[in-house]
Amino acid sequence: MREAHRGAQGLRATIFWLVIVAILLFFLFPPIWLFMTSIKTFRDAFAIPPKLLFTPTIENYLNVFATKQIQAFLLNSIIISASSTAIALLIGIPAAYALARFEFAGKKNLSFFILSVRIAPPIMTLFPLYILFNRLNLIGTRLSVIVMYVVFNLPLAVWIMQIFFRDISGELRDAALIDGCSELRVLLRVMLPLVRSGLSATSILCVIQAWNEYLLALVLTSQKSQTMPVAITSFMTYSGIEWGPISAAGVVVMVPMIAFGLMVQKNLVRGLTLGAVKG
Amino acid sequence: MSRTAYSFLLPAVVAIFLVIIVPMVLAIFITFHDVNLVETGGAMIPNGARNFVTLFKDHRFFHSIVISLLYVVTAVSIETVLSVAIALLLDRKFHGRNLVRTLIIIPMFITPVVVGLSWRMFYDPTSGIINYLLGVLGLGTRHDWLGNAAIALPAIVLADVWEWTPFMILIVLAGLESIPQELYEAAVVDGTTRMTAIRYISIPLVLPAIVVAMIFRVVDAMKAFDLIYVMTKGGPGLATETTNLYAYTIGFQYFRIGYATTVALVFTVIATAVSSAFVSRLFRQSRA
Repeated sequence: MREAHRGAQGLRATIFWLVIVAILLFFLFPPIWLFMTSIKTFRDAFAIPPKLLFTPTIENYLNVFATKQIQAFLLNSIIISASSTAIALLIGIPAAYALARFEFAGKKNLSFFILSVRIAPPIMTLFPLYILFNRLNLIGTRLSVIVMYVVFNLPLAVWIMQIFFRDISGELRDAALIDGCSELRVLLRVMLPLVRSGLSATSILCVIQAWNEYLLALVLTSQKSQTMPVAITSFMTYSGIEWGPISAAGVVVMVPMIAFGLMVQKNLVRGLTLGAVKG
Repeated sequence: MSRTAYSFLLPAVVAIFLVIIVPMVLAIFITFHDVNLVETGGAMIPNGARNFVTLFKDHRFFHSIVISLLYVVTAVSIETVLSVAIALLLDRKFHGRNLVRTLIIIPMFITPVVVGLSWRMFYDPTSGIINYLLGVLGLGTRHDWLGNAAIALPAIVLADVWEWTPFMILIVLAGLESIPQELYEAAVVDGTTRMTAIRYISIPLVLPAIVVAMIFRVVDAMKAFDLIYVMTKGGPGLATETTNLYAYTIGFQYFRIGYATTVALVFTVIATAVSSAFVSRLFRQSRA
């Protein structure tokens, strides 16, 4: 009897682990395969049956990143995501602080006004903005994309920072205010250092959003201001796709974002649901 | 005090006003104009309600709405079922639990363009791994996944499911973990089986988290562009052309900004109506 019971439990544990392995395989296979393709020679990448054992090569990476052009695109991506995140935080933090700490008329409405950006489809604002930017001669500049990313990142910056500000006890602010500090000083000197972990989580999420964005970058950038996602798709031509270089570029675009994402795991649930679910 | 509050909020409000509200108003204005980037260099020529007349006779537009809704409904429902099942599986104590949780969320950080390209590589009719594996199983090696109008949309939905199920797992799992352990302990004392505990404790209590996750997914799936654009560009034929892609094509391939804006505007109205109907229904269900 006991033997049989243990046997059934062992079987259940085995099935459990098989399912876990299958799930992991499904979710991890694509990036692993992309990486493997990126270190294969042209001939190995197209071998049928696919080669699991092969001599790795960094040729694809050298080919892709040796060109000045790709280096420029990578720089564009870095400049655009970093500066749009910085500006979104600069604008978003005071707003978040006000919503978390002050009582005033119209607070709820303002809060939802900011949230509504999260719902607005970019395609709606894209055409009118294209015309506006066109008149202002901003099409094809980094600035046009940065402006868009700042605003599309605002709900994230405002809503998450708000939650972190709420967690701080009010006494600290009162004490600082009695000492004669202005509200802005209190925010910068007292509050911000206390929400450091929230701040880093928020900025990382903003960077990921900006770095991964495609539609706006596709429309608003030119040869000069292209970001990496746009550049990668330009490797695709009707005559065929060069999988080696594309995979190499894809890996370089993908890896830092995975690293960033895993760094903020602790605050991820709150961040991605704008505080609606506690993680 | 409220003066400080307003001044703190001012930059954010002004930014949103300039980049979202002004363009929205401008969009409504544009829909009553003919704006062609090539023929007239983007000059705005009033044309009454002609864009709307064209729209209501445009089969391609209605087709794209159907494709968009199909995409959203199938992707989000599969993601919901799959994520709840996986989250329930992971919501127990086992060795390596944290590692599994960490690894499983990797897809959601990957640039959608890269995800689309990877899947395009897997689906490749001649050198793709999927056809190879099917061949090994004796199921044929000549499937043209993205080139066949009947399976191209499900093939893209699978890529969407791959990328975004982890997002839902993460949120559902967080919801499951916030259920007080005492509830389960009480159930065990009463002699409840695990299945009954899931049915009567886990699911009802985690429902709000599921709803939040679904809302985010519906809102984002309505915006889907990159995955589809990279994998099929809306083809073959119009088989995967969602309204986002159609509007983009009208605007930046045919350069008819006036009509493209009309399509985007009407779609936004429909999408907002559908999502809010869906959201309010979900809310009522999760409260009941």
